[in-house]
Amino acid sequence: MILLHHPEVELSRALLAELPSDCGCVDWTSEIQRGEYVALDGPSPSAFPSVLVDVPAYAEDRALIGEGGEFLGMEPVTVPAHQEVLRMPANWDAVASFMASMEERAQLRPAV
Amino acid sequence: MRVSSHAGAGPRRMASHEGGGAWPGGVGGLPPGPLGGGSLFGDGTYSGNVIQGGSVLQPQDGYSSNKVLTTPSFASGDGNTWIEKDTPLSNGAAITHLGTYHTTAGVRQHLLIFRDNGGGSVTVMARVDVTTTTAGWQYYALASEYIVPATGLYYMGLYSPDSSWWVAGSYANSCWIAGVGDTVGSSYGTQTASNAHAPLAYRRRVVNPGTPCIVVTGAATVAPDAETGASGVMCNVLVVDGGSLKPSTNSKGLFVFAKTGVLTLNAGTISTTWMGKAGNLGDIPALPLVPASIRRKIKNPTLDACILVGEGAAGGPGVAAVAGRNNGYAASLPLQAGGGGSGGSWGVTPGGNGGKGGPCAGGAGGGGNSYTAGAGGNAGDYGGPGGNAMTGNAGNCNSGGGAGDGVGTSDVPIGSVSPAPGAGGAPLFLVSPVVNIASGTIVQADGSRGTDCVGVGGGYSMGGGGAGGGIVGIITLTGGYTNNGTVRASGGAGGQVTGASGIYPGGAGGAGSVNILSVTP
Repeated sequence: MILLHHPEVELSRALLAELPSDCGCVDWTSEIQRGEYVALDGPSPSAFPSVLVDVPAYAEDRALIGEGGEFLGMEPVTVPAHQEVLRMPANWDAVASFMASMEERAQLRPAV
Repeated sequence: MRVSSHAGAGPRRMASHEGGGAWPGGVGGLPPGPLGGGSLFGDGTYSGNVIQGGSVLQPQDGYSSNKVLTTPSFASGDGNTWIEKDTPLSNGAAITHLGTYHTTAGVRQHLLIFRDNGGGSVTVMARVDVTTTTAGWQYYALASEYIVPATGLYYMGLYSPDSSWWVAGSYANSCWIAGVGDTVGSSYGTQTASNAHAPLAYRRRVVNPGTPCIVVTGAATVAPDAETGASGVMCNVLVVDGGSLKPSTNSKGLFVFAKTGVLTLNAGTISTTWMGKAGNLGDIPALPLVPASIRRKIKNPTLDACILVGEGAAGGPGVAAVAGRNNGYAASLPLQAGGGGSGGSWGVTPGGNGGKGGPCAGGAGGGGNSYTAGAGGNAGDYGGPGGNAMTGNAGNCNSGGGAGDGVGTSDVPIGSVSPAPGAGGAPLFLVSPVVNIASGTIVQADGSRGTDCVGVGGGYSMGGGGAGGGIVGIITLTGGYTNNGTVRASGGAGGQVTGASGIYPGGAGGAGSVNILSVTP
């Protein structure tokens, strides 16, 4: 989990002030830190603050739709593990809520 | 003048808070336009408060002179002090010079400003001792300008150590005082009415003609200039107090020049969000975008050196995968806009590619793909237009278009969409010795979100791509910038999806650049 921080943004400063111990931080105004993040090939940030999180693989049901648009039923598919960037979380509780949801989803719907 | 960089780089290298790399050196783009152009406030809301005089950071003040008499004739006498009560100084005036008229050089005089204490008493508030160097009117600078207080009566005065000079005539209110002293702050005691007149004048600093302060408490908009396509505001002080200030329509930027300061309060907003203007214009110096009516009145080498990067960050490529999408790339250079996000995809075929940003707009978003008919439409580069959603969706699916200067069309055989509201962020510049952003207030050049979709059970919905963030530039004197709020150039969110069984949002636009420049005179 990495906070993509921008000091010109009030919300970003607030999140940085309460940065969890298990969360890294990239100051986007630092050319060096920004370069290190880009080198990781992570998702490009859309807004600041953003929090990069790991999302575990899970299964979801996909609707089967016929060529004529008729609904044929559902089938499970695997969404592989990936990283997502949470745009402008209001606080760390919001991030924790997302993480808990992702973990719960992965446990309830493991990858197939 | 030296340009200070937050990154510690030398002159002509700019610190960017959302970009890095070398200072873009290209010069090109628009030539200076002719004088004139559109009104500064297109809706007229604040037209009475638009200030068109003065300059920024390097004041070149004008003066207004008040000559009591234009053709004085003189009589001479002993050394007395004259108080020019016929012409009180304007309250609030910034007096920079006092002037007098003589027929010869080499005459010593003490030029004075008096405060009327009432009851026949006056006090000297300012003084300059001079010896005339030639005949005629001459002006002499005060050691520091004297601001006439807002209330009370204040007069020019004259003391001649050698001999008095005055103009004979009938002036009921002028007076003279015998037995002089001329120490600043001393009281002169009782005045004696005179029928003569002292040949005095002054120069005042003309901060700006008209109303010097713009206070925005509602929704104020600024029409783009007809020649440059950008919006401009010039004033002494800009206060955005709970209101908002933005261009009235898509614009090549909003440029605010405030001679004294810019202040945002109480959730006030200065914005070019969604207001970018598409165009492959190459690298553009910021200055030629400033409306000519303002440009000719400013002198700001730092702004002169700002060149908007013609090629913004790349757009996010579409992805043919379940929930496949990419955000636009964030700006990697100073004064660069972000790229647009791709359209959403349910798989098999990709959403449309996001477009690269331009100098005057964040990149446009791609369109969502279609369930049965193929890939989403790609966005145009350099700020737009947004990609169209692929048409031909199965009857229980829908797809949204991308944000851009020209929002992409959507395909909505069922359900509904909420079209993207606009384009990428436009350039936003605040140029003032002091800029104070209060907590809870925002200076923003954000991109538009992509088109949101509301689908149906058993169907798929693919959102449109969001547009990239624009370019924010803030130029102040060193130490003049305070930010307790937010300055940002966020990319717009990808179009969101609700109601469908397959929920595939679009990619978000990439962040633009925030550039804070301090100038040491």
